[in-house]
Amino acid sequence: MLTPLYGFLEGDTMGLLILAHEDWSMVRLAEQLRASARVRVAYEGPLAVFHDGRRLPTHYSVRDAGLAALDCVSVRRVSGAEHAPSASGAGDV
Amino acid sequence: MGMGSAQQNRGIGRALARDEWQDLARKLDWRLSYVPEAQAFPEAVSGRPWLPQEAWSAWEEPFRTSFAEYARGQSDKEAAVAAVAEALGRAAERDRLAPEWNSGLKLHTALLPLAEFAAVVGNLRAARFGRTSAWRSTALFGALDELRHTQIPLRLMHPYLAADAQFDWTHRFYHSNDWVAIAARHCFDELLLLADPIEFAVATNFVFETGFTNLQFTALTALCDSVGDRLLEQMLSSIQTDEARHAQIGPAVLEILVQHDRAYAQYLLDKWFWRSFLLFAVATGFTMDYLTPVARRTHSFKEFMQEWVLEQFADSLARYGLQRPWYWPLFEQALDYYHHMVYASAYSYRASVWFHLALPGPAERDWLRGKYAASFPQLEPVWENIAREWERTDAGVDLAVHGTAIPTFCSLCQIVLCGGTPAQNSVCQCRHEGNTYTFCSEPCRWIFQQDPARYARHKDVVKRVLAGEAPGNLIAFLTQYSGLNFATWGKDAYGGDYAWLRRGPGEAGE
Repeated sequence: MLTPLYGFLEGDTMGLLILAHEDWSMVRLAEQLRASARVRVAYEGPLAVFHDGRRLPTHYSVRDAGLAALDCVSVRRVSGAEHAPSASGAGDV
Repeated sequence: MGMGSAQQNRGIGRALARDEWQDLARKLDWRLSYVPEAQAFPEAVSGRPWLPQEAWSAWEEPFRTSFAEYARGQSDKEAAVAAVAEALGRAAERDRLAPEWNSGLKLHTALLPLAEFAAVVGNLRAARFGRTSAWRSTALFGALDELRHTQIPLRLMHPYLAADAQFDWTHRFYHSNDWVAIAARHCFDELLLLADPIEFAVATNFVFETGFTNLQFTALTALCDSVGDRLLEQMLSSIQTDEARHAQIGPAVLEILVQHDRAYAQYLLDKWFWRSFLLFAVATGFTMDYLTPVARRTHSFKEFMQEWVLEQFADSLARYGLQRPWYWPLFEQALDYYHHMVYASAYSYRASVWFHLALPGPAERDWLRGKYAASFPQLEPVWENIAREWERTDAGVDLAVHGTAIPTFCSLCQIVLCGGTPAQNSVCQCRHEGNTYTFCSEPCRWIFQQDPARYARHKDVVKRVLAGEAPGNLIAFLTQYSGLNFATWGKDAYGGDYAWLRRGPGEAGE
């Protein structure tokens, strides 16, 4: 089952549509957005997915996270130490 | 019906002075006896608030043009345009100008003519349903003006067609499903075709023409002079003289509107200032900050906006007892970011438009950094990355440095979701009757929420793709849905062949 999501990568100038499989982890989702935006944005390192102002645990799947069609997610850089699942959040999409 | 006896007597025995005649000829409102006034000028067509005729009796605008004056003046202007077209209208003249400048021309001449044709309809509605004869008379000239503004770009760009198929978009644009055309139609259909004469006067004549076309026609004309584009300079200044006249309908209507419904006047201002800004940021912002050769730039888009819109237009609002729009801080931030965000996005999806885009090099980026010290450093990594992508690619292999994912679009303005900053996109959403709507900014969401019935059924590009009405594959989307093909879709203005790129031997294509 594919879920269309609006994705916003930190540092990018635009939002992109991601057709996310419900089994994708947040890591996979973040990497997909990074790959889609690579013509404009290129940085390495860990990423985190935020939705409704909260950071989604990396091991969550799209289904676990309760992401629904046309939800907005932002993907932001985090330090290695922050990469572990966390309740802290920043983005507000 | 009956004309006042005093007015009748004034015409007997001597020729009237111009201004006396004007009062007689322009103030032809009479008391209706066969039908009620509200039936001849129904609120649904004439606009709200519905006011009795007497409320409009003081309506006046400064030009007070007679038909004879109009015909003489327009004839002279036509002769001037024809002379310039004869002298400079050949493709060879266009070729001596920079490719990116000609891209700006293609952008403007696609957006302009058929939007002006839609404005004919808006003006004609006011010429029939405007609430005072002086307004109706001025609107009739406005309709004739806009017909002229339709014809001039179509006439002037036609000779270029044989050498450059992108100029076909001067006419084709609004008949296409190109995403820019969808956005422009969404705005102009409402602004020019749907709006009643009161909304049309405030939105088109006051906000769009008084507020923003100064920027388009006057500031851009200055750039034409700097670049040496005499044909475009003549076209814009000829159009501007018409705009300056019929734009005066706006303040005249607004002055009466605020006396009776200030809140509605403020709402119209807030709504149309934002919608106008977004369109001008793309059309004029692109041209001023990216498509004018850097050595020829005189001011930045932001500086032109500050001079022509912020200082001259926004300061005039106090005269009508109106406030600056509620989102003013967001607007000021957008002046620093918005058109840069859209341009970088459009550059990376340039095959989705009908004109070429230029990659800002070191000189352009120096200039942009100087003009946008607070914002451009946040945009610069995007351009550095695109330049690196070009360095890994052979010149001319345009689609190798191009986006492939499906961009996302605002449910209101239909422009790509490019609001906010690279650090924090300003996307926001709302739900209406079980559906999700996504917006580039708070003002777009606010406009939608004020009148959801007007906007809710329109599908943005993403919803068309998801509904199976448009292809999700980029090339199919461009060729089968947007009306583009390899010959016409946008590419890098220089094929990615810039001397400043560090494309070492053996690097390209690796």
